[in-house]
Amino acid sequence: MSPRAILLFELAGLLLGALALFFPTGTMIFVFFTLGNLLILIGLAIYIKLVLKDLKKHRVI
Amino acid sequence: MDAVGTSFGIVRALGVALILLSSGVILIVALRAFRKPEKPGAKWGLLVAFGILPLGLLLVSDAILLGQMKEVTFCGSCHPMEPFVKSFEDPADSTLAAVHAKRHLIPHQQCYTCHTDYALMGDVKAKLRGLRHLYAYYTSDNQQRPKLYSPYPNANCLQCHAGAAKYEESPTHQTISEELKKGETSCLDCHGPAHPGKETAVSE
Repeated sequence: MSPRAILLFELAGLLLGALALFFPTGTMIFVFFTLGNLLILIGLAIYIKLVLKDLKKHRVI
Repeated sequence: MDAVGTSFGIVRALGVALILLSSGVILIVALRAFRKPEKPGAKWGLLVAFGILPLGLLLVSDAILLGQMKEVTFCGSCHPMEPFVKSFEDPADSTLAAVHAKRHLIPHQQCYTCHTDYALMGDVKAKLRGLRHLYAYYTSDNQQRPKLYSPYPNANCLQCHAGAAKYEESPTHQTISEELKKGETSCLDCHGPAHPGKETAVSE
């Protein structure tokens, strides 16, 4: 996974979150809020994984 | 729309603006760091763009949405809930929930106030039950009347009524006080139905 994938996941997640905020009904929250949260968390997980990989490469950890 | 609804509208609008603005910042910072990864500060920029900002926005938007989910308008946004919400405005409706709403005994967030258990995990359990209702709504016949997953706890009524003079002075309440506290007799056995469309008082 590349940093571009992180950008894509996080921006998509944030935009879905904005949609859920704009139309706060059961359907929108069920679909967009849940999916948006999931995408942002996937993006964050990939970022943390890449940072840890980088730190190991430079023998920081 | 009442004052609470208006303030929620403003908060939501600010939330949307914050997300869109931050998305732009994230895009610019990330693209700059991609172009010149060796530039000093590029990694710090990515930390802000990929770590701090999205996490902060996630928490802020979740907090706003979780607040929004307490509103009656949110509960009424699913079709099976419409009769329950409409009963609040019907002057002829004498069901328990409608009386509480119309008399302003519970001025705001009427659904949430009565359907949340008063305990440490009460809020979390209410949200999980709500998600289960939503799941059932999408995966089964969504015209069905929503059902409770457990009997309505008397503790939710007693949270407000216990200690009130009118409640304590009632001879009936004095007689069955312990039964009510233990949940052996439901408040709804005498004061139900809670909502329209059901003859017996089994609903929450």
